[in-house]
Formats: sequence, structure tokens, C-alpha cells
Amino acid sequence: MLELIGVSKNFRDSDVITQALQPIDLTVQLGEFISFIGPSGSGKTTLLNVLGLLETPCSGDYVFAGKNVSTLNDKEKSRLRNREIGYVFQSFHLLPDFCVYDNIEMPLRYSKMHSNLRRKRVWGLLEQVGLSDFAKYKPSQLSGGQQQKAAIARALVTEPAVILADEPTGNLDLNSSAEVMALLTTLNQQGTTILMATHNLDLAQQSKRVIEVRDGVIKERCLVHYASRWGIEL
Amino acid sequence: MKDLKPIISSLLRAKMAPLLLILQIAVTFTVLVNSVYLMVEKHADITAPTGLSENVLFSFQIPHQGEEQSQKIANMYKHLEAIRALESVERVSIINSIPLSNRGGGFDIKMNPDDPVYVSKAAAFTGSYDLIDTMGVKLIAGESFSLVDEEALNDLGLGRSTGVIISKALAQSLFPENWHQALGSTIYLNQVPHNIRGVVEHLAGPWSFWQYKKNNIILPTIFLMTDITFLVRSHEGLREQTMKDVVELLMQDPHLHIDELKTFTEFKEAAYQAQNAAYTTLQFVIVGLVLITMLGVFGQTRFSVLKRRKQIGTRRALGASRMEIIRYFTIENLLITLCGATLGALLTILANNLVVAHLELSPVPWPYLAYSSAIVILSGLIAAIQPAINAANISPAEATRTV
Repeated sequence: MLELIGVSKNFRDSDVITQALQPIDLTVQLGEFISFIGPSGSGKTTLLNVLGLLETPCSGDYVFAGKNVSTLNDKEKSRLRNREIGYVFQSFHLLPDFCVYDNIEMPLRYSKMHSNLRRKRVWGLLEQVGLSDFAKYKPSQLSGGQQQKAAIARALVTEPAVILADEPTGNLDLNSSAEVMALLTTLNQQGTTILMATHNLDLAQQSKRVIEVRDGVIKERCLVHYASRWGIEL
Repeated sequence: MKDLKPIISSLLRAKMAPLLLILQIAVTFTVLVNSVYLMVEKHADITAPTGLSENVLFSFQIPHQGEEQSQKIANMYKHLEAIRALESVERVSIINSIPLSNRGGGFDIKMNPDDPVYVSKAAAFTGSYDLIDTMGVKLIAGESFSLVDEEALNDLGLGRSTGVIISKALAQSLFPENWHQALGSTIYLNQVPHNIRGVVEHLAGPWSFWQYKKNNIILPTIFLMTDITFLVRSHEGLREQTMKDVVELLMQDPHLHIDELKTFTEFKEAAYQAQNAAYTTLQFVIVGLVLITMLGVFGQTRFSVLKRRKQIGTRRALGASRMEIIRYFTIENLLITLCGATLGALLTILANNLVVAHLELSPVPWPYLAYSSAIVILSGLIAAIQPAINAANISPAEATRTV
């Protein structure tokens, strides 16, 4: 279980302080598929970053699988990010100097896993996302959809409990978006917790729970609310 | 070395900046090696043992122009006796020229009078029989001169059979396999045979710049030149007082002139003035070169960090700790400096070969390549620390930021 208790986040730029997250409480059960929706600048990404230990909250406590992680040092946070959390970014963020195989393998190198085990796991994921034939390709030689699949494989390689996906289809065409969403749904069905930030309600409806983020405040929403507001057929 | 492959790949992708830095390091390295070598040589020269008791010696000259030889000898011994009687004086001798004074004379040395070429060269010090004791030179083999060996002449007394005392460096150049064989051997100065009766450990020659400056010979002949040079050894710590006492004593004779009153320290400083200046200049050159290298590495690493903020953030998000980011940039920097140092070493070897072939100079010894590599690599590492720490401080959230 992931639990935020009174967590807030401010950003300071010289004299200007922006409150990205008001003090919020949020509980995520393992195995959930949650979509965080809201307009740009609403605080979705900041919330995901806090949940993924990429940002340190200004106040409140973050309990990850029963452990308060707010007070961990850099090394402990790095280890937790590496082993328990996988990230899928909107712009993929594959490292351009690595081939697909090396990109996927990278988190395992940070976890100091033995090379034989690494090889086995990376090839398994390449099979799973359908990129076996592209293992030695550089990211620049792949399509957007293929790059995002590689990024998902990289997020999955340490077999994390939670996948954080920030606008995972934001840079993809319709077909690739559908493939990526199908992959995330399958993963969730296999027990992986998926937390996705999106402003696309079509995608949000594929999750089990929708949370609206607006001006740094979260509101639990059922999809019917949005369906009636924006005329979506459910 | 898990980062090596991507680092090389990354360097090859944007090769111009690292390449220019490698070239800069290579050129810097080449100049650095030679500067360090020259500096060490200068330092060795400046600090080489003279063999003399430097802090208690001083000398002066008394002109004897127009005096008859017998009068000159009588006055010389009178002055010697008077000075020796002073309480602050430990010893006093006559000498033809002071070591490192840039004045003196030398010989070609042959082991056989019929040899067409000389074996070595040496400068000659002549003077009182106790000159060795006055100078403070250490006799390490054979015997010293005695009073009966001393004679005052109008030349160096090469025809006399008193034997000579030589420096160990000369003995080594005459008998490279075992310098002890020099003792009792005969050498020829101007075709005249001389038996080697003693060897002293160190003795600086008259000229600091001379190739054979360590090769020296001592003969017990007081060479009656126009100006007689006195070498005075004071008691420890009393040199200034002794100089004053000697001047006061000699000035009692209103017709007497004293010239060139100087401590041995002053002679040494004057002899090495140019060397000291060159040594200081080389130190500045080396510090400047190291700073230039550090600036280059600092700039390259900083630029590399700024260019890759997103990538660093992504690595951090994937689980890289701060130390792993620092290690990445340290290895990258190490690779660049190693390439620069290797290229620099090749340039140095090439330059060395040219210097040896065309200018007949000695090549830079191999250890200097290692020292300079260590300096370049160490300064590169130090220069990369700050940008690498900056990189490690990049937030993992950088990966999700759009601006």
C-alpha cells in the first residue's frame, strides 16, 4: 500500500513560491490502476514525482509498503526507486548512446544483478514487448511506439511493485497508444500497480480509478462524472 | 567498468569538444614533461653538494702589484700568520680560485701521454697544503698533503712530484668500473705524470655551467699571481664577525688593499643566479600549464553536464545514486585525460628523438613521462570534481520536467 499523509510540494523560483500540491491525503492499494487527470499545470506530474520518490515533499509523510520513506537518504531512495518503482515518461527518455538492450538493462546494472540473470530478464522483456529483433538498435532508429515499448520494458525490468506513467501516450499515434495501453492493462491484470497521469479521458477510462488533480488538490472522481461533463460514451 | 561503453559512445557522438581537449592536454603534456625535466635538472644543479663548508667560508684578495717575488711571499705568509692568529678564525689558506667563482683553469686528463685524445677534463685548485681542511672537503681515500708538499711558485707547479688529490667524480670518470683504482694511479696533465694520492668526496668546480664541473684536482702549490686569494674558514656561526676581524686586522696597514671580500654563499648565489631564475620561471610555467589543463577539463565536464541534464535525471530516476553519477563523469574525464596523456607521451618521444638526433642533447628519461601523466591525470580529476558533484545534485525529477 502507498499512502500520502498531508503531503505538500512547493517550488521556489527566486522570490516566487508556487504551491504545486496542497497538503493531500491519498491511499493506493497494490494492484490498482489509477489515472490522475487534470489540465496542464494542475499538479499531476508533481504528484507522480512525489509518489515515485523523484521529488521530496515539503511536508507530510509518505508511507511505501508500510515504511515511512520521507526520511530516507539519497542512497536508500535510489535503491527503492530502482527496485520498487518503474517509470514511463512521455518523451521516453531512452539514453541515445545505448542500444535498446542496454537501455532496458540499465536499472539492473544499478541493482548490481549478476550478468547472466540480467541477460535472461532483458531478453524475456524484449520478447514480451515485441522488440527482440531491435535489441541492438539505437533509440533514434526506432518509431515512437517502439521507443515507448522499450521504455516500458526498462520500467518493468526490475519487476517493480509500481509503474508510474506520465502521459505515456502523449507522443504516440493512435495505434501505438492503443498498444501501449494494452500493455499497461495486461501488466495491471498480472498484479502490477499502475499510476498514470494523463489528460486523455479515453485512456483514463481504461483504469479502475480516476483521481482529478486541479490546482494541487485531488478529488476522487467516477468516470460517469466526466462522461456526463464531456459527453463521453462509457 | 559498466559505464565505459556508453561513455566512449557518447564521446564519439559529439567528438569535436573532447578531441580539442585531448589535443590541448597532449600539447600541455609535452611541454610539461620537458619543463618538469628541466626543472628537476636545475634543482639538482642548484642543490648539488659543493663539498665545502659553505656557511663558514669567505675569501678576499690582496693585490701585490709591483712587488718582488720574495717580498710577495714574505708578505703573504705574514698575512697568513696574522689572520690565523685571530680568535674567530679556524683556518686560512691560499687558493688560486674560489669554487663557483667563474674563475679558474683546467686540464685535459690523459691516462697515457701518447693517447691522442683525453679521457676527461678537470679544473685545478692550487694552494696551501691544508687547503682541503680549510675548504672542509672530505677526504674519502688516500692521504692529504703535508707542509713539506707546499711550495710557492710563479706557475701551477705541474713539474713537481707531490702527487694530486682528485674528486670522486673525476676518479669515477677515469675508472668507471671501480673508482678506488684511481688511488695510486698516474694521470697526465699537459704530458706531465702525476700520482693520485687522495680522493675527496665532493668538490665544486670553478664554473657552475661547465660539463665537467664535478671533475677537480687539487695541487699543493701556491700560485703567485698578481692578486693573492685568501680563503678563510671561521668558527661555526662567526663568519660575519671573522670577516670584520680580518678587515680590521689588515686595515692596520694603510698601504694594503683588500678586494673581492665575499662569502662563499655569495659566490654560490651569483653562480646559480641564472639557474635560480630559470627554476622559478619553470615553476610558473608548470603551474600555468596545470591550470590550463584544469580549466579545459572543468569546461568540458561542465558543458557535458549541462548538455545532459535530462539524461542524468533519467539515470537518477532509474536508480543511479549520486556516487554513480559522479563515477560516470570521473571515468569520462579520466578517459579524455588518458588519451591526452598518451598522445602527449607519443609527441614527447617523437620530440625527444629529434632533439637527440639533431641537437645532441640528452633525452627526457622515462620516469618523467610517468610523473607528468600523474600530474595531468590528477589535475584533470580535481578539475572534474565540481561539475561531477553538480551533476550528482541534479534531481531525478529533471527527467519529467518539460522546461
